[in-house]
Order: sequence, then structure tokens, then C-alpha cells
Amino acid sequence: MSLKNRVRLALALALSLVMALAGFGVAAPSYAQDSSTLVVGFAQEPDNMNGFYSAMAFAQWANDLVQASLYDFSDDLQPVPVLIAEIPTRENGGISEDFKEYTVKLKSGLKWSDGTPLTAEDFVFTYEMVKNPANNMIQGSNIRDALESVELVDETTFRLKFNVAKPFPEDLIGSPGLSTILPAHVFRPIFERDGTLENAEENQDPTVFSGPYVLREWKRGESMLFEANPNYVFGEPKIKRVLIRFFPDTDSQYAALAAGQLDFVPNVSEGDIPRVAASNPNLKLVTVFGGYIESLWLNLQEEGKGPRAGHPALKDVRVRRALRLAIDRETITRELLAGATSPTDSIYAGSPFEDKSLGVTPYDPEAAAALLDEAGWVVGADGIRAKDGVKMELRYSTTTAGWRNNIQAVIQQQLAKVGVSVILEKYPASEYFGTYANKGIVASGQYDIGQFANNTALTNPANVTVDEALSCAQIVSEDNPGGNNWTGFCSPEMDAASLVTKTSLDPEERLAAAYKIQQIMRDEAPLINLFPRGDNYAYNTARFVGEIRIGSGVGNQWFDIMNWELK
Amino acid sequence: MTQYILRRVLQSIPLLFIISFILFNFTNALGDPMAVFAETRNRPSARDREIIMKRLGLDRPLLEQYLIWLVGNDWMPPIEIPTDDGGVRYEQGRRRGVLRGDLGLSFVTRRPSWTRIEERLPWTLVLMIPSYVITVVLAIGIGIFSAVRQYSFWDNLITSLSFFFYSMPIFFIALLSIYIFAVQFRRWGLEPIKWGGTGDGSFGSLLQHMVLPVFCLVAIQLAGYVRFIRSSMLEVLNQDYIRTARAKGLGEPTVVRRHAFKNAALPLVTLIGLDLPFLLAGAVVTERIFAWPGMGRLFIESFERADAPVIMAILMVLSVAVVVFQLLTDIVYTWLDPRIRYS
Repeated sequence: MSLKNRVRLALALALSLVMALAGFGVAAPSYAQDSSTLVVGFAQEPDNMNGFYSAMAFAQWANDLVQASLYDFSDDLQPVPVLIAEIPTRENGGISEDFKEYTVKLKSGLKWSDGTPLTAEDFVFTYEMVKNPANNMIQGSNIRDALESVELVDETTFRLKFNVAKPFPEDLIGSPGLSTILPAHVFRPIFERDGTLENAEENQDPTVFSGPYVLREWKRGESMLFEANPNYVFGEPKIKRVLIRFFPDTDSQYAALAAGQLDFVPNVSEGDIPRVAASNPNLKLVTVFGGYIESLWLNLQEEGKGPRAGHPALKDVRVRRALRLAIDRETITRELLAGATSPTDSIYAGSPFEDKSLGVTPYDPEAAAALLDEAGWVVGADGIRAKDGVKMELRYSTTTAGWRNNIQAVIQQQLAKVGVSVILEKYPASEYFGTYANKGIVASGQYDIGQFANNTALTNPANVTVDEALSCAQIVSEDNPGGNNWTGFCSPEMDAASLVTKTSLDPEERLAAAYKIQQIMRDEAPLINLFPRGDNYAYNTARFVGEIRIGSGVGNQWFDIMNWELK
Repeated sequence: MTQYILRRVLQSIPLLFIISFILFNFTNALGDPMAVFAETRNRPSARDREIIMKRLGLDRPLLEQYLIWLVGNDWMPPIEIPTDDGGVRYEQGRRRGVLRGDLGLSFVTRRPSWTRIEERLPWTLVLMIPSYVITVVLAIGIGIFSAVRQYSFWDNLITSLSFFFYSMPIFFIALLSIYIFAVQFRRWGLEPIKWGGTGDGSFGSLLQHMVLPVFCLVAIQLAGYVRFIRSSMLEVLNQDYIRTARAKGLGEPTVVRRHAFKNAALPLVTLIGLDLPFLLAGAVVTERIFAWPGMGRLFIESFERADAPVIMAILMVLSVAVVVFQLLTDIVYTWLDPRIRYS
């Protein structure tokens, strides 16, 4: 063969390879962006379509589209019954006097998307699966810990028995406490065959649904196509198809939004709101209650227990309060976050249990300087405060998220004005939030100030941040490597109040305890709250008929999707 | 020749072991797969997290983890897992190990790592092969032209332009092209170029969606190849045998094609042989910006979640590809240049 022919042969081979590969895409169904198809942009691809096996927000959101819950919460945090006939209370007899037994009644005539009746048996099966350790679910630990038994009463009724009083039914039967119900007729054979649901194909490519939509096609790395479920409890949604497209790069996602290629985008970062709004006059930005607060956590760990101890100055409550006074949170939320949120001191911010009378610490650098002087940290020749030869130099770290790094830079300047020097550090989230055993930055105390989010209270005054991330029993150490309290803060008084918020059967007493917690947090300042983080959505008004209602971060953003309509 | 190939294959086995051991150490130092549970609302309890760690084998010494990665744990004593009542239950490991064809399950999706690669690899090749072919073909044309007309106006223009694109960051070209050809085109009333993903499934739509990413990839890669071919051509054009060819009255096209380019092409084969395996790796930034479901994105997404099995699987596929393509390059040498003999 001559050289020419050899080259020709090689080119022909390469070309046919390309053609063959391109052929992969040809078989898929096609869809257009018209009045029957809503196009949604997700920044991340769901990792699992069985809600019990994912801790990822985007997976939860995709799940909420296809799996109905017993009851949801609306945009104004009001319960919305979905599959449940009536939300159980002590008054209607659905909850026993001692709060240890729930009797749950379903609506009648419910159906899965394949037409199989959806009955109490599916719920009994689901609770049994959650309870069974062989399934290794990463969600549902609250149910696993408390549930004693589940029993079938009749086709539309089941009964749950708990080992302790459970005053908040939403944590155990509502969304997000129980956001997924497993179709027994699909999963039971899998469990009987494999002894676990963990690796079921059905988790990745589900076939039977209870929500407003069914998953029709999942093009990995690219998109998920959903079609309206005619068997949905509220009837078939008006929008016939939802196409979720994955845009991992925010800039290109915003470009697609500006160009009208996307109709609806959840998870717009606060700092990006102005430029998204300016990119297309038809875009409307909506902020709903998200349930998270961005905070500066202070390392109060003691020396010698395993994690690195924080800067000694932080042990003094006056220093912690001074730092809070020295940070101009108002300017940060206004300038960096487009005023989409405002500062808060309350760990219950935005919830119905927030004690508004406590107010918000104002920006007052003079007061901060006076407090630092009083604590013995005086300004040295180099402009940095020091005490007994120790300089006030703090390691201030966060994740690599750009908006967080912008805030870091501003706070660094503000603290410099009162003579506090901070060294800025940033880490990938997988390193920053690593466990103690894996030498995670925060867990092992490699910080003085750490910026990340915590949870506020949602539909009840039990606050998971107070309960886990700030309780004495959860302080991470060599002896307790799994502890969730990475700050080392310990207040037996607050722990006692926290227990009351979780277990008291008297709503008044619970609220009083929640107020007590907020007061302790304000006085002790174990962390500095910056601002509540809402869930920000952008949607194209040119595509929708009228305004749409979007659910809060507590429950389900799609709680009203059956009423959404496209032009 | 057969002996030579056999020897090379045998040599590559210990090499792959060494590579895999080094990569395994790096990969497992990347971060903590448990970190994803911070900042979430329904965090698994400390005990549940401990169980996850144990079942993934992450509580074991790194050397043991590497051993499990190689030969699996289905033959090992069962894993002890603490139960709610303070007891233990036993679970038999299911991993078969890389040596038995099991690249492990993704920590994140619980699907086989290989399945995840299988889904992405074709799309990466659909993007990378055409852009590579276009790059090389254009580069050969431009490079030869530029060498033959050295220091002419066109040579200077091409040289400046190629340096301009070479020094541009890909994300800038990519976003700029989206803004011009998709966003602004719509505003100007022109038909915007479709982008984002691979289209609606038809071949025409796929081609349309390939236009912008391929353009960007060609734009940043082209310069390097043009410079390479130009200099390698210039070197050959100054050789005595070219002068001889001209002296014996051959036409300039024949001199350039037959005598100059053929000889200048050998170093190009080396370069292509080195580059080809990395086509499998995809283009991280381009794929992210154009929402292309390729390998580069899979890599970066796995990296963000510290999904060690998938990262290892990708890196091993690439390592094997590098070794294989190196060997192929050497064989192609003998094919193109009969003077080269291996023994």
C-alpha cells in the first residue's frame, strides 16, 4: 500500500468512527420549548432518584417532581395535604395523648403512575425499609431512631408507634421528613431478591411515580425529561412536559436564561441577582424562605483534646461580641448581595419562632474597639492588637465559592479598621467539611473563623444547629470523632432549652425555650450570624401565564406546579 | 516485531501498577466523601456516617484500601458494622477489584464507575475527535503555507493571530462566543446558533450544538500545531536534498508535498501520538461551559464530590490509553518510515 493510500485508509477509519459515535444520539425522542414544555436549568445533576439515598438538594428537587409526599408546606409555610386526608393532631384523634402514636389516614382512590392502587401498604413497606439497617439509607435516621412499629389498619390507614413522644408530625410523615414513598409492588421483589434496596436499578432509573410528573428519560450529564402524570392526586398538571437541563457553569446557565433557552432556574446566588435581572427584562427573580443562615463560626476548642484550639482571644466573650460589632453586615448584604437579604443575630431567623424583640447588633466599630481594649487586646505599633505578646491574627477560612470569597475580603478590611488582622484561606468543600478522621479543615480545628451555612428552625422550634452543631455532647474530639459540634462551644443551659424545644408537649413552653436559646446565642456569641439565605429563583415571565407560586426551602418548590401554565 | 510488541506490553504491566499506586494515593487525599453532608438539613447521624465509612472501606489503612481496589474484598472476612442496639452485624464485601474487571461503585451514585465512563466517553469523542481532526488539518495547511512564505505579510498575520488565540483563556472565548452567537444574535434578529448539551437527538441538531464548542477548541489548539508544523517545515526546507529537488527542476508543489512535508511529518506523528490519549479525557472547561456531557465534566464533578472510585477509573483508563497509544505511535513509525526497525 502506498503512503497516500495508507493515509486515506486512516482518515476513512477516523471518519467512520466519528459517524458511528455521533449515531449514539439519534435514537432519543425530541422535544421543543413550546407551551407544553417547561425548560428548567439545574447547576448540578441529581446523584440518585431515590430520596433516601441522597443528601443533595438538586436530587431532592428532581425527586419532588416525581414523588408525592403525605403533606407539603406552601410558600408561606402553611401545611398542604397531598396524599394525606387530614393532618393528624391530638384534637382530631390522629395523634395519641402521649404523642407516641400517629394514625395516618390517606385519601381514597390514590394511584401510582402505572395505575396500581397507592395504599397504606406502600407506606407500611416504606417505613419498614427505612427501619431496616440492611438498606443503608442515608436519609430517614430520625425515623429509624424513633420508630417502634408500623402497622396496617386498613387500605387507607396505617399506625406508627414511637419509643418517645414525637410532638412534630412533619418530621416523620410530612415533607421533608418523609419526602419519598416507595412503591411496594416495585421495591418488595427487589428487596426479597437482593436483601437490600441500596443498589437497586430502580433508584437510578425509577419507573413508578406518585408525584405530578413521571421521569421519561434521563440523558446522563445532559438532561432529564419528565411527563405529566395523569394519575396524580391533584389531576394531571397543565404543563405536559418538564425538561431539566444541567448547566454546571453558572455563567453559561445565566446566558441560557438571558437568551430565553431556560424558563426556570432555582438556586441563583444572591450576589448574581442584579446581573441576572439586568440580562433580560422578562426575567423575574423571586426569593423564598430557604431555611439556612450564613454564619462565621468561631473556634472555641480547648487545647489537647484532639482538634487544634482556636486563637486564645476568641475564648473571651467580649472579643466575640466585639467582632460582631466590627463587621458591617448591612453593607455586605446591600452591596454584595443586592439587598436580597439583611443581617440577623437570630439562629431562628425567618422562622415563626424568631424573637424579633432581640433586634440586630448594629455596626459600631468604636464600641468594638472599646470592648477589645477592655478585654486587654490593645493596638500595637504595627496597628494590630496584641495581649501578652500574642498578636490578634485570626485564620479566616471558607469554601471556594466566589461570593463567599468576596465577603471574606470585605470583612478582612472591616476588621483591620479595629486592629484585628485576619489571614484569608479557602478550601474545596470536600476538604473543608471533611470529617475529623479525615482531617477536615473545620472538624480538626484548622481555623479561627470559619464561614459556612447553618440551619434555622423550620416548621417547629427544634433547631438542628443548636441541637447538633452547638451542643456540649456533640463536641468533636479524639474521643468523639463523629461529633457535629466543630466550634467547641458548650452551654448546659442552652442544651437544656434545646431539649425542651424538641420534647415538650406544650407549644408555649417550647416557644419560651426557643426564645431562651436566642438570648443565650446573642449574649454568648459562639458564632456570628451574617444573614439568612433565601432560595432565589429566576423565571421568564414571557413564558408563564400569570405569576407562579414557588414553595419555600422547607418543603417543595413545585408544591403548586399543577397550576402553573405556559403561554 | 511481534517480539518487540510483546516486550513492550509486558514492560507496561509493572508501569501501570506503579502509576495506579501513585494515583490511588493522590486520589484518596483529595477530600472527604462525607463532606457533602455538611450544610445539609437531614444530615446522617454520626453512627450512620461511621457505617458508610466502614462499608466503603474508608476506615482502613491506605495500603489495604489499595489492595481492595486491586483484588476486591469478596474473599475477605466480612465487614463488622455496628447496629443500633450496640451489637454488630456482618456484611460480606462485594467488590471484585480492578484485576477482576471491577472498577468499583461510585460513592455518589452507587453505580459502577465503568458505567459512568461508558455514558460519557462517546460524547467526549464526538466532540474531541472532530475538533482534533479539524485542528490538525487546518494546522498542516496553515503551517506549510506559513513556512513556504516565511516573513511575508500573511506569515506575520497568521503568526500574530495564532499567538492571540493561543494566549486567550478558553472560558473567555467560550463565553464570548455564546454571548455573540447565541444571546446577541437573537437580539439582532438573526438565527442564534444552538448550544448547551447535545441537542434534541437528531444528527442535524447535534452538529449545530457542536459548532461553538468545536470552534473554541480549535481556536485555542490551532496555534500550537501551526507553530510546530511551521518550524518543522522550515527546518526541512533548508536541507540540501530540497535544494537538490529544486535543482533537478521539480515543481514547487511537488517539492513541498513530496519531499519537504513527508519528512517534516514524522515529528508530527510523535506529537499526535502523545495527544490522542488525552482526547479521551475530554475538555474540562469547554464541556462545563457548553453543558456537554463529556469525560472532563465527569472528572471535575467526581472531584468536587471526592468520588475516588470514579476518579481512579478515569485516570486508569487514561493511563492505559497513554501506554497503548505510545506503542501504536512507535509501530506507526515503522509503517511510515521503512528505515526504522525495532528489535
